[in-house]
Amino acid sequence: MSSASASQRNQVDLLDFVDWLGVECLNQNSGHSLVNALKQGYRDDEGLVLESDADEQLLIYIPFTQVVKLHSVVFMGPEEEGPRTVKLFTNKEHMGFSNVTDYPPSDSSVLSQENLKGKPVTVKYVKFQNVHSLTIFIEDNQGSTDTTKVQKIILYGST
Amino acid sequence: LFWPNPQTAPPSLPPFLATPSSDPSRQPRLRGASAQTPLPPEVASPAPRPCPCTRQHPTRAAIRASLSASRSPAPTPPLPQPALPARVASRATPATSHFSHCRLRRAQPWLVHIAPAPRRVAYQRGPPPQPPVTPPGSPFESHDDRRLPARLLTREATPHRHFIGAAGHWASKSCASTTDCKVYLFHCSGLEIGGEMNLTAGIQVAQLALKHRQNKKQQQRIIVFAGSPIKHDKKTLEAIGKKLKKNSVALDIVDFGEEEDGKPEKLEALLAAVNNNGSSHIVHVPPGSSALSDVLISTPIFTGDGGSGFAAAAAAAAGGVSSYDFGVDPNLDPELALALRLSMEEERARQEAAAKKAAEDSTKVEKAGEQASSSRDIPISEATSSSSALPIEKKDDLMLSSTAGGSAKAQWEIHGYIWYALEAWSSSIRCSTWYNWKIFINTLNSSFKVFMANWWTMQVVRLSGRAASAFSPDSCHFKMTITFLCMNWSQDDDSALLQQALAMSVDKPESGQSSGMADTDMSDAVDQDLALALKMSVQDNAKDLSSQTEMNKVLGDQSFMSSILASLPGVDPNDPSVKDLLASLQGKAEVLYT
Repeated sequence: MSSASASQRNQVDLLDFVDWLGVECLNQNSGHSLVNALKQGYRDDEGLVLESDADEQLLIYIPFTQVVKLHSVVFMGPEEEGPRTVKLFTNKEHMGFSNVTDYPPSDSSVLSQENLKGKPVTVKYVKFQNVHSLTIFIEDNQGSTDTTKVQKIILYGST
Repeated sequence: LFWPNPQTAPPSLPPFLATPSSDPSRQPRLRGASAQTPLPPEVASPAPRPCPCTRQHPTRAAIRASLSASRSPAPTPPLPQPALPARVASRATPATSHFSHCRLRRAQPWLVHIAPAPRRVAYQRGPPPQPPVTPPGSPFESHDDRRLPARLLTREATPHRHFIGAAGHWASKSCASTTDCKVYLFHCSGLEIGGEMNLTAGIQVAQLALKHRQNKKQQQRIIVFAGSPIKHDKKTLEAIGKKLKKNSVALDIVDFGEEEDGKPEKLEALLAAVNNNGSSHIVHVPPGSSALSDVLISTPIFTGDGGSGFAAAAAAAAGGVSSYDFGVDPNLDPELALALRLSMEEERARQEAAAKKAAEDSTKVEKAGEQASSSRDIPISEATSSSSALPIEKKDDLMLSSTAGGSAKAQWEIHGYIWYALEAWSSSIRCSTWYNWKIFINTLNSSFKVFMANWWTMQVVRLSGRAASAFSPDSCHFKMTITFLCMNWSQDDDSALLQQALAMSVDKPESGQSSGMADTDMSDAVDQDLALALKMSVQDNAKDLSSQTEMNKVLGDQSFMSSILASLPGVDPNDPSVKDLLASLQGKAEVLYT
């Protein structure tokens, strides 16, 4: 992934196009769920985080109400427990932890501390032109702790 | 090789070579033979050799004659010895001895047309498979048989069911995903009991089966029936549990049968690892004489989890059952259907009357009216705080539904059909479990709080008390009585009815089981009880808060409770644990009803 400049003038936050009924997250702690990281009011609150439950991996499935083009993603989280290796899959429904390795991700990246502060990660342009649903697989975290905490996830793109 | 004289033929030759056929077309040409010098007659057509066998064979001429007859246009009936094929017939032209005929059969068996073995019909259907009934003396009857396997059911909120038997080293999936309850029942009955239980393999196979389910939108749930000892340690089970939790699969565990030390703890550890916010449950079923289905019907596995999803599952699985008004086919059971319908109307009338009274009267009566109409919500909320063993907060949504009609219908659907399903299954594992007082009193405890106010419920309780002598353990005709104890109960209006019902059930000391366990025989008792019930329901409309204290009195009445206890099998009222429970029950009753 190229760490391109954040040219998001023509990009919008894709929050409006998220199909909230179909949003799922596997291995999330029920007290700290995905809405804490995605939804408008919740994610800006630093105290509300999405935390993983049994181990440090998370699988987030975000369907959209229409086909979108994804430009970049922002992951924000604490230094130690924030996500490190993140893989994105497009248009694969109902993935589980057992089949994350079955197909190659559309894009994958290793987040740095800058990214965790808010620097967006630009995704590969070609593969994200026709996104109906997005699956985010967080494989491990920065400090190799037992749980991963994600404070904010923002998706930038256009329709 | 041609030997002119069969007598001089070497014995090593087979007879069919030793004796040439006398068919001129098949005569080999001899050197030295020509038209001018014909073969000597004894060479050209040797004398037929006498047949060593003693049978009388038809001559070739006779065979030819019969064959020519068969070639006639009229079709001959099938011969007991089928007719020789054409090329054999062509050889049988000249007259030969029996021997040649015999030779034919002996020497060239491939030419002889032997009638084939009768072909077996490919799909022979025998009698319809019945669930095997364990004979009384068989070793599988008692709970402590070491060879009960674990059965795994993979189930989702709508009924796609895989059925997996987990005996042995691997788990074998018994039948494919199906929405039809009958198929799964059939496979239940076809499972064999034996081998060791491999719980982890079974769960993993179940997970795999879930992974390939058709409807991926719904919650995943695995139900484990663990009857045998578990050979894995806690750590393995916890790892499995974590994996299930990670994939958001809920797990219901039914611990029954063989009770080795550590098994309940292991299963509890597994549950703790899997449990995500109370979606997974465990039920420990101690050995006893009642069927597994009886015990399970009252647990959260069937009343709580999934809420309307499970009810929808039961309803859909019931298929035709859900199309009826009250989940009961009027053709099969007209009295019951009639009773249900009448009860519904009575309930509605009563609620309307109560609501009317609530509108116009003082606060005291208003409160009673409100309670009558929203009676289910209050017991549920109270039950949440005070119940311990069975999490009532997971109570079925249908229990809380506002109309009596809706809840009654759905309850019948849930309990009735799943009841039958479990009945058929449990009859195939005849594990004899004696009815633990603790489980029963917890059920009663919650049921006293949440017992439903429909009068037909009371009817069955009363009828079951009366007809307890007609109880037959093998009939699964009407075992819904146990469900009534588990349903919601509005405490104010019907406490008098309940009191009467309990009194009547206690009246029959020879009844082997409590009012909750007996079969009803509706045929004889319906008429007078219907009349009686109508009378009673008309009378009870003016019940108010004061009747709650009656319930207090009922529960607090030591002698009454001990008399109920005495009527139950296997319960010793002098047991200290029983006495403790009685005391706690009274304490709880006071908390609830004040």
